[in-house]
Amino acid sequence: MRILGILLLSGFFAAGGFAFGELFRQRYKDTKFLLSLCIHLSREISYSGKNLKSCFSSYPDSKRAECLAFFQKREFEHAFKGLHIERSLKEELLLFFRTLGSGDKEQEEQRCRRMIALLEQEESKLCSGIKEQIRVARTVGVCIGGVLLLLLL
Amino acid sequence: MPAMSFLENNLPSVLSYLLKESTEPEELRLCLHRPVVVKTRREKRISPVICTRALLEETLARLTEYSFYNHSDTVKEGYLSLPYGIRAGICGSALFQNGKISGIKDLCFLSVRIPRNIKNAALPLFSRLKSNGFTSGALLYSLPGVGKTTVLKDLIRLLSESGLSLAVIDERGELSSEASPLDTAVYRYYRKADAIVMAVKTSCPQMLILDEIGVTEQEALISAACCGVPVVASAHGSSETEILSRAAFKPLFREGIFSLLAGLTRKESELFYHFSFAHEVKGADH
Repeated sequence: MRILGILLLSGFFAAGGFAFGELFRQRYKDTKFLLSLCIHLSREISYSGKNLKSCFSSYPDSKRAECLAFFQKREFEHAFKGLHIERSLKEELLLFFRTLGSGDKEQEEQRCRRMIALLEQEESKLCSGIKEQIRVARTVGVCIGGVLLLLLL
Repeated sequence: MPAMSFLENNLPSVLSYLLKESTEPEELRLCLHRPVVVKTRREKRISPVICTRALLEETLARLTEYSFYNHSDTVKEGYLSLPYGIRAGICGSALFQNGKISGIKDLCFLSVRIPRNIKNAALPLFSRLKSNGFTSGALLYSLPGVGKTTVLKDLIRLLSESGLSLAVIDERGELSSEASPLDTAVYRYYRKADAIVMAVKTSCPQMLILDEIGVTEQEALISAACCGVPVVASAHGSSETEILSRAAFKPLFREGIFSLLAGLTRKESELFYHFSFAHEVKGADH
């Protein structure tokens, strides 16, 4: 019984390491999604003449439908709840989305360009370190699990 | 009424409530730091709601469905074209770039005009046009807010139902708010002068209809008349002599583009017509 408990505890930490690694991957995916959403919005604002709600609804990614529904309803806080992004970036994005649509075309294009540049920077930062971060998280998890196993057995 | 439901859904709740409790509202006027005014068909009501900058900005954002960028061109000209033929007049301080208005700041006034559809409002005018075999043009005039656009909308319906091919020049999206009538080419949001030339050249209309003509449409209207297309248009004006003596319209009457003058007045909700023929009006120098 004791051995089983120790094995479970070690397994839990190892799995935690893997899950933590997945969080990095998810953060990268979500940043990529937001970048592609901003590019899409920028194009729609410049060329389609659609209103903002239709710009969100025409984003071609069915996997993100739930999140996009919140964007359409201007419930940005809710939309960001399911996204894993850095806190400072989240605040920038919230401000961006809350004020999006209030200026003329030129102002909106400029705002979108600025946000796209910021997201591209974040994406490349995440991209360069993502493999390493995942490996570190997994290794740390497995190591803690292993240490606990050795100590408690 | 789709226009009313659009406004009820897209106005701040306090304004939406004001509209709901008014009978037959026609216009909502918001002036910064002043009470909101609701104009109905019968009265002008001053509400207890004071218009703040936040209320003005929220109204603008909601009316444009948070897509102000789609309206920046018309804002420079002082209005917003909204769905279902709703028009909002907008004013503030002008911003200039290279000597031209590039935008506005410090919004201080907003007026939302709610379109009406009155069936058979244009029947007297339609009958006059019909008696001429739809071969002559007419100029509909009245003071602002009497119902020229309402009459033109109904006239489009009546003419279209009688089987005429029409071209409607709808620069502000007010005339063609409902589903397009049968056999009608609608030039929505085009500049009037450009659209007149296009319509005559490409859509072979039997009649051309447009709202609120001015100096800029003069040449295009003359060229349309040269092609034999009768024109029905509207203009602001208080009397036939005033209309006929207006410099901008003189060439149009000289060319015989508008042989019929239709003056429109309103008492409460009833419309009254005063018809005259341009060449018969005394005291006008044309």
